[in-house]
Amino acid sequence: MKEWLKKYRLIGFAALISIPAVGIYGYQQFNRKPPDMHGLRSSYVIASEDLVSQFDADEKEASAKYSGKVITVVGNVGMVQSTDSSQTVFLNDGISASAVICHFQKNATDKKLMLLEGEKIRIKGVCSGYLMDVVLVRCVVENEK
Amino acid sequence: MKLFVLLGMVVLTGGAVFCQDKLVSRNGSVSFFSKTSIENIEAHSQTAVSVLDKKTGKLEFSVLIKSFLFQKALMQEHFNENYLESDKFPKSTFKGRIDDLSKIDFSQDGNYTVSVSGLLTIHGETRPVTAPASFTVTNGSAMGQAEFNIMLSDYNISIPTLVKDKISRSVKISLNVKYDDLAKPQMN
Repeated sequence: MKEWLKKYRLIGFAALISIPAVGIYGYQQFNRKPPDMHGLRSSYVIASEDLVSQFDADEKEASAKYSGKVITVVGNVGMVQSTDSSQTVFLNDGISASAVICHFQKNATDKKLMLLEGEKIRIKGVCSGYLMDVVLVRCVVENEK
Repeated sequence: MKLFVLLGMVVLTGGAVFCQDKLVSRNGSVSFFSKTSIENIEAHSQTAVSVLDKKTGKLEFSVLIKSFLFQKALMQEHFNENYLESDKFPKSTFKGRIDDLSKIDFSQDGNYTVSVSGLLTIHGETRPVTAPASFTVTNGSAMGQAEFNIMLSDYNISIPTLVKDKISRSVKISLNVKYDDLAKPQMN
């Protein structure tokens, strides 16, 4: 077989394999869901009051350290608010005005969170920053009953 | 310091210590929607902070950009990294007032339709906005709702050339906030 024909056959074969592979990869990337929080490892494990005080002391530095990261916060349940689509748990020490607000999406709370005020809990979530409180989204309870 | 954040918002919304005039929400809902020919883009945040002064009608709103959640991970990554640049501009704020506050009687349960105007800051750009809003008053608390459109170009949000014709240049923003009385303890 002529050399050039061999070369083009090889290129054609490579294209036959790679074009669908790239297409499938692209499709999977486009439709990729956010990862299941249960399977993610926390970058930090920290007490709720320590997290709040770090943001209080230097929001810029704390944001650079925690914002966008998966973290586990240990604290006491101050309040739980529910809507049709989500639940929000406030972790605070009962003294500070600020808290860690943990937002649970509906699929994470199919089983409604039954938490008691003052109960100690470990919550894993993605830190999204600081307003009046430190905010965690996509939360899951680590020590589920 | 942490108290200063709350007090700062209270002061900015008009009169420092008279907390009985202030309604506050720490888990307000903000969502946006954009129709595109590829796919609709939609995201929600339910951790916005808002303070409303019942006496003066002054209103403040803050939301963390990273608190917006998408159905698809790639959209969320592009939203944070390419469009809103959330590391550089982590928050979006609104500072304004209810234009026709006299239409609302916070001591009387009911539904009130008003106009809200103020300055909206997104992606480090501040623009004036005016939008119709409704407040539902129940037992001294209020539920606020508003919906308005913004142009991405007004906020210096650029769309990559490749998808320029396929992404809408305007985005609908919806707010839904349940305010509690700042003077009262919040209930579960």
